[in-house]
Amino acid sequence: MSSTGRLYRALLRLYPASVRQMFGVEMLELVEARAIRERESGRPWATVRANWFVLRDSIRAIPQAYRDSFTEFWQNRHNPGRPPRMSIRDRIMLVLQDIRHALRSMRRTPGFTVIAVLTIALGVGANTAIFSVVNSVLLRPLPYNEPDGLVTIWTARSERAQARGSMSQPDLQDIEAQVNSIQYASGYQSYGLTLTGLGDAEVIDGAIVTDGLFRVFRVAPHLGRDIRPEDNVPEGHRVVVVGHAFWQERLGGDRDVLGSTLNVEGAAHEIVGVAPPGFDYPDDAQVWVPLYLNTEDCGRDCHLLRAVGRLTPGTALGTVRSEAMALAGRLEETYPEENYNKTFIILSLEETVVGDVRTGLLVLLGAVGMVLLIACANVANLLLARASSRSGEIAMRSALGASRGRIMQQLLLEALVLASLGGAAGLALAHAGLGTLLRFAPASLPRAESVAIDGTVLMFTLAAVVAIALLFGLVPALRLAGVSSAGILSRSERGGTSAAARDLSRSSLLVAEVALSLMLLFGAGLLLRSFSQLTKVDLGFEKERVLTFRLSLPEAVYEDPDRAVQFFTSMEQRVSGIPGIETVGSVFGSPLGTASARTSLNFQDRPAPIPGQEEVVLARVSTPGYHEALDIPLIRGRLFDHGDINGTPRAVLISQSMADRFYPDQNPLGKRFTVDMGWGYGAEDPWTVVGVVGDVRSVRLISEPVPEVYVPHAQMGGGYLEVVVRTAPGVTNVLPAIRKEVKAVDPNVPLRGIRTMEATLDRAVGPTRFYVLLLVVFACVAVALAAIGLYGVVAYLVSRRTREIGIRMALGANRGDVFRLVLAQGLRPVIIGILVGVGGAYAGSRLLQSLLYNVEPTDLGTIVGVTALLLVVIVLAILLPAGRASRIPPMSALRVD
Amino acid sequence: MTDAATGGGKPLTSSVFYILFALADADRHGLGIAADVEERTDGDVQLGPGTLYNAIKKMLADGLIQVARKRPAPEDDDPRRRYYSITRSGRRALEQEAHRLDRVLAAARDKQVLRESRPA
Repeated sequence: MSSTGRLYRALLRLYPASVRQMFGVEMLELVEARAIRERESGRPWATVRANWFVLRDSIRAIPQAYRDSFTEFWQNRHNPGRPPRMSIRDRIMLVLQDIRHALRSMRRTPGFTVIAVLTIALGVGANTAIFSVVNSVLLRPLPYNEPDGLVTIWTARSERAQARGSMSQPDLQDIEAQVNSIQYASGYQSYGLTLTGLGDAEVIDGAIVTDGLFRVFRVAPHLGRDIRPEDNVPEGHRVVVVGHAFWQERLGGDRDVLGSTLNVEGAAHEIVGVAPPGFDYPDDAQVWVPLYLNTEDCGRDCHLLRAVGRLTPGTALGTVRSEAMALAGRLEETYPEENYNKTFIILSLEETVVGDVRTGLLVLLGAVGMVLLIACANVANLLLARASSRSGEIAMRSALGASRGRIMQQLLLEALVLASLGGAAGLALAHAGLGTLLRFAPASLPRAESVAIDGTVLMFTLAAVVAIALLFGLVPALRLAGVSSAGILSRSERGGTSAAARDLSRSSLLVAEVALSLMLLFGAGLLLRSFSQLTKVDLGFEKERVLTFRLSLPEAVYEDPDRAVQFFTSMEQRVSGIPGIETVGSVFGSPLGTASARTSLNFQDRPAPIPGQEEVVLARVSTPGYHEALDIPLIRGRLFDHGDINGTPRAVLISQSMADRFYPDQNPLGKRFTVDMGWGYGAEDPWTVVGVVGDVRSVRLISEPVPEVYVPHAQMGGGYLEVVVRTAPGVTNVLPAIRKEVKAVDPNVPLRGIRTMEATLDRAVGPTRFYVLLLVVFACVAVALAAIGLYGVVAYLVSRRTREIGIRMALGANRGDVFRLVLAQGLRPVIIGILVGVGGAYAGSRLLQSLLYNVEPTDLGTIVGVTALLLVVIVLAILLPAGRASRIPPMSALRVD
Repeated sequence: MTDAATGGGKPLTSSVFYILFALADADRHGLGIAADVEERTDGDVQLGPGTLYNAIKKMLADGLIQVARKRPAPEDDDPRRRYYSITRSGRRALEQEAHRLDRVLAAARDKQVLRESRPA
């Protein structure tokens, strides 16, 4: 460099940093060129001339440079929205260029790209699938007009305010009339109604309703009229409203259908209306008939109705609740017996529909979120590892004038490209997997048919992609863009100042991965234990080889209880004659079924109870074969036989827990009580206990057995029973024969709800199995990802420390020492992660409480078990690279540059 | 944006004018600009490094010139050098300045300040 050049280098320091950094090199080049020209011109004083030239220039230009910088600064400050220096087009070009660059560098490292994209695809796919379920089931509004104003109304007993019970019609009428914030209310029973006269007898989803159901839902009939108050009287003219789909498909969409008759439950009904298209409340109903409740037989203490209501516009749920509470108090004063301790529960319809599955779905969403975080941590780790090999490239770019922001932008864009590829693959994965997911979904999952990947889901996926790109792109980007070009260019790949910091972020990522995996494993473990508890529940009956179906005799034809008894007796006789069928029995209220009845008891040998405080037990009505068909053990006395018929002394069977509760130290046989069930034959006469049978899980699988009484069908009557058929081992497909025999007794009585007892049980454990299955899958994915991540990091650390290991071994360390060194280093984040994870698991597991059965959310055995499992997997992941490290020959390690 | 960039009509400073002039026919690096200006003015105008780059910095900021995307053929290229090219608004500003000078020249001839015969 010339002396003028040296002078100018000093002068350059006087310039503002912005000018010096941007143009210093070029300015110096100009000066050198000038100096050379002066020298070559041959004129005297060449150096002096050159020096004078740069001095004169500097005297003029340096103050000018500061003036310019100041003006620029001032303008920026006072005009923050100053026009961009780059045109939009240039910016887009730049982004496109960065994307091309990103794709190019991804193509150069296909292994990394494939692993990263698959990891993200797994995380995004699982999240998209679960979110699409959450979106359709929980987030999308119900498909009714102004769904926010719809509520369901229930009866509850004050002391057990959680249990929702059906409503009585007088109570419901009072609520509609006296609770101001309920504009309309309607009661219904949802039923499979038997239709005859349109070909074979068939059962169609329908409902028996009080008037005003359409009004509650703010819909008008497509044709004709709604059900009116005058329709709801006993012995009135029988009318029916049919669904739009039913009208189209079964009645030909004929507008003249009004006034024609339809045979419902054995009686002719006049069609007076057609529901609007799409309306099928409740439970896909297509036929609505008026409710004929005789308030003398079924009054205020007869709770048979489910109820929906429409809030007065602008009312909050809280207002309705307090008004209903006040009404309950007034009613209890007026009707101290019937309304003793009675209160009302008001829930939004949405809560009623999805309330049971909300917790489970949100837990699943949280779990997949964790899987995504773990996937992010893994990709971040991969990017960090790649970052060290790319620091040279970055340093070169920044030396060539790329600003820190520019490099950040490029790195984040790379992360975004990676995340987008993974997201697209994940979306495809979700699309493909959604069907499978729904096949495993429990039947009780509401609105499952509407689950799909829609716009909302796509937005969710897009947001997830951007979020994870930021998440796993930011750490390496900050790390890389932050290092000075000189720092990286001057040092070799090994060691260096930022390595420690990089190791720290690597370790934090591992800690997070291990902690999250442990939390997931714990959740999965708890549910798994809960599930195994559920399957181990002693049902009290034998579930194998049992087929059940319901028979409902049309009331109009079977008004006489003798006829109903005759029907079931001859039906059972015929069915039991079918080859391959061992026993047949019928019951009202089969285990885990939907039908149930309660009765209060009045013991003959005890003082009469205070009205409203009678002992209430579950009541079952059964035929003689029932207990044998389900293999419910007889503990004392005898079962029903064909001699227990109307006219003979009334016999009753009680369950073990009923015997324990009411006759703890005595022989219950021969004890007498009355029940208040007013079926066919009436029930005024006292019943005598003839036997004690085993307890059955009859209400819900997870509820402890409750006291129950069984009365013989032939002494109680009733036209609605479930038939329980036990087949011989190895016998299949007896259904056609059964159908034929039932048809032979009465062709107008179809079989409904045909299923095996195992299927019924399957339904009961379905939700738990669904959550268990998914959580276990997610937990396995999480653990696998964490193990892969750990393996990768430890392997990387080993490769970086090969030289150090070589030196240690050269200095006398043996293989065991090296092994322990690597193991210890790998295990440190694992141990911290496990501690954090245990804390998190305990804190979070309370959310699972409502999904658990017979397992405490803080179950010690589970936490120990899953921690051990995680440790084993992770130690294996570390052992591989650690073992490799200990086998490195010292000389080759030392030769590594 | 400054008046120069929007063609607001304010006279350009002489260094800005000369730099635009130098870039009007070709992309050049800093040294090339200085050499072109000096040659074109028979050595009357010699842009010093500070003056030149102060102007370049300001012109870049004002959008009159930009760092050229195309680079010369590799054998002529020096990767350390940045080449500058005139932008559309730079060309407009140059045109306006030329028109202004043309008007000044015409006025000067009218007022007999400038004699026609003088060779350019």
